[in-house]
Amino acid sequence: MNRRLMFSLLGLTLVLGACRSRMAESPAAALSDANIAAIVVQANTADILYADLALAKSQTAAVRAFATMTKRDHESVNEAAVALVTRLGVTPVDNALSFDLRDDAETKRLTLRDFEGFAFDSAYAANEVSYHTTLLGAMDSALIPSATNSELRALLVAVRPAVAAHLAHARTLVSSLKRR
Amino acid sequence: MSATPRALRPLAMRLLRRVAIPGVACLLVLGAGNWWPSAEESPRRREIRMRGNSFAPREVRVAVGDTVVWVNGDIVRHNAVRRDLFDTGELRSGERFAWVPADTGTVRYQCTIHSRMRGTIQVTKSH
Repeated sequence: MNRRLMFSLLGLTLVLGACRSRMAESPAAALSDANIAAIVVQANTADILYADLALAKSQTAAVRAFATMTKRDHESVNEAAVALVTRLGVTPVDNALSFDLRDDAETKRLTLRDFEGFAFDSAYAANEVSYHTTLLGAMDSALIPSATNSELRALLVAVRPAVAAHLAHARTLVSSLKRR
Repeated sequence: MSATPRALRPLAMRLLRRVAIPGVACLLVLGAGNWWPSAEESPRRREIRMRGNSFAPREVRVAVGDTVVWVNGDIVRHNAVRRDLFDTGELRSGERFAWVPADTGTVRYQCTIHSRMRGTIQVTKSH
């Protein structure tokens, strides 16, 4: 692993660490359904942007397949979330967490954009593990417990297995890339 | 001579009512059972739910002529594919697809969107 890649991965880790700290600081009760809606949309949009980048840059079949799957799944979740909040008459309200997600996603996307070939594949896969670990943690510790509307809570609970499956798949992708 | 049969007529009628009529009815019912197809033999419908990024149940046993129905209970899209046999296409949440197996055997299939999502259908000749 070259030094540039190492420093960039360190940078990504620090950004994710900051985001996780914010998650830990945020008391679950502080999030309203409108906040949760904004976080859900932002979280899905972030991974769609990473997937778009992977599809534009990577030539590795396993990476492209993973990006195609995550993009499709996150688009479906966003469609369902938007349809639900529209029906419920809830307007998503941005908050510290959704702003963090948006800013972190942009920072990471710009970092990933500079990589090519194997370095890109490795950084993208590592980021997917971190992203889905953070998202799963946020769902369990903040989003699901805070949701007061039963349909919103049901949507989050229904989405959780897909996020867990993405995480497991991302870990496998990291391992397979290491064996190359 | 003619009084004896007349005296026996009420007894004969009672026997007819209590034994012969129920007996014939029983024979009719039992006989009909051999002609009408039983519930065991009629085609059945077996539902497989796509939920939590897996097929539930993951393995099902059906007979030739039964209907297997996949229902997407997830928010994300899924499919179920076995090349040369069936391809549900992308099913959105709540959408379904039916397939009727024509041959016996073990059918292993998967969701090509989520490659870890796999299922098996055991198709037998009868139930």
